[in-house]
Amino acid sequence: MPSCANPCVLYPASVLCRGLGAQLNEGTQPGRGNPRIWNWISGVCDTGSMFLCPSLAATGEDGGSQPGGEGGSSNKGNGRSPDDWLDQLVRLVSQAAGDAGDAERALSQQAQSNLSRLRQWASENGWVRGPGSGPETYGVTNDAGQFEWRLKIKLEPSLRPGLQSGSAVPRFDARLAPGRYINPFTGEVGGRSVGTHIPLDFGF
Amino acid sequence: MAEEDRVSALIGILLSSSARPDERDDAAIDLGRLGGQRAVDALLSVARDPRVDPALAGTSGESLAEIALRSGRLDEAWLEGLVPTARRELIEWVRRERPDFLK
Repeated sequence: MPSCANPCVLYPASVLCRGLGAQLNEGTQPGRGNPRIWNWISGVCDTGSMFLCPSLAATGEDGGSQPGGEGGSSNKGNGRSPDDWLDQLVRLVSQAAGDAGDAERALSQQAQSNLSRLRQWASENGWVRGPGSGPETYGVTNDAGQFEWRLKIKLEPSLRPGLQSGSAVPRFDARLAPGRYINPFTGEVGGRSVGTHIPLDFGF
Repeated sequence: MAEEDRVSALIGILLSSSARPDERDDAAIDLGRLGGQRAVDALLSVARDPRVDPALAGTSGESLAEIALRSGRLDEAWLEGLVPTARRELIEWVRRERPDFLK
C-alpha cells in the first residue's frame, strides 16, 4: 500500500482494496502498531479508484507507535488517533457509496433502463471508468496518459438557484471529443446543447 | 433570475467546496453558455488551480473554449497557467473549430 503520509493521492482500487479479512499492516507497512482487519463495505471497491486527502489520511507510523500499540502517540499534529481517521474514512466512503446507491434506486424505470443502456454503450465503446469522486464517468486514456471523458452520469438532481432546469433531474452528458457532443439515444451530434443535461428518463 | 444574478449564483456554485461535484460541473457548463468577464475570471481560476479535481478543471477549460469560439477571439493570456486537462480541453476544441486562433 502506498504511504498515507502523502496526501491527496489517487489510489487505484487494485492497490488500495485488499481482500476481505486482510490485515491492514500485513506486509504493507513496517511491522509496528496495531494490525487491523481491513474489510471494505460492499461496493466501495467497485469504483476503480479513490482519493485519500489530508482531512482523511492517517499519518501511518512515523517511528513512534499508535495509541494502544507500542508506547505513546504517533499522530502528527492532528490530535486524532488512527482509529479516528479510519472510522472517519470508512464513514465517509460508506456515505458516498450509499448516496449513489440511493440515487440510483430512486430513478424511474425508464431512467434505470436508460442507465443500463448507457453503461452498456460505454462498455461497447471500450471506455473505462474514470477516476475521481465526482459523477460516474467513462472515457479513454489519451497518449499522454490523461483520462478524457466521453460519458458523464449525474444521478442526483440539483435545485440550486442559478443552475439551468436540466440540472433538476437525473441527467447525463455524452460527447465524442471536447466540444463535440452526441445524444446517444437519437444519434444527433452537435455542440454542448445537444449532449449536456440530457435527462436520464429520456423517452425515445 | 436576472442574468447577472444568475452568473453570480453560478460562480458561487463553481467555487464552492461544499457544492457537489456534479453541481460544480453543471455550473461550469452553464457559465460557458452565458459568458462574460466575470464568468471567464471564475472559470480561469478553476482551470488554473492544481488543487481542483482535474475533471472540473477540464470542464472549465472547455467552457473557456466555448466562450472564445462564440466571441470570435481567444485571449492568449487565458492559456497561461492552465492545468493540463483544462489546457487540453480548450486547445482541442478551438483547434478543431478555429485553428487560426492558435497561430
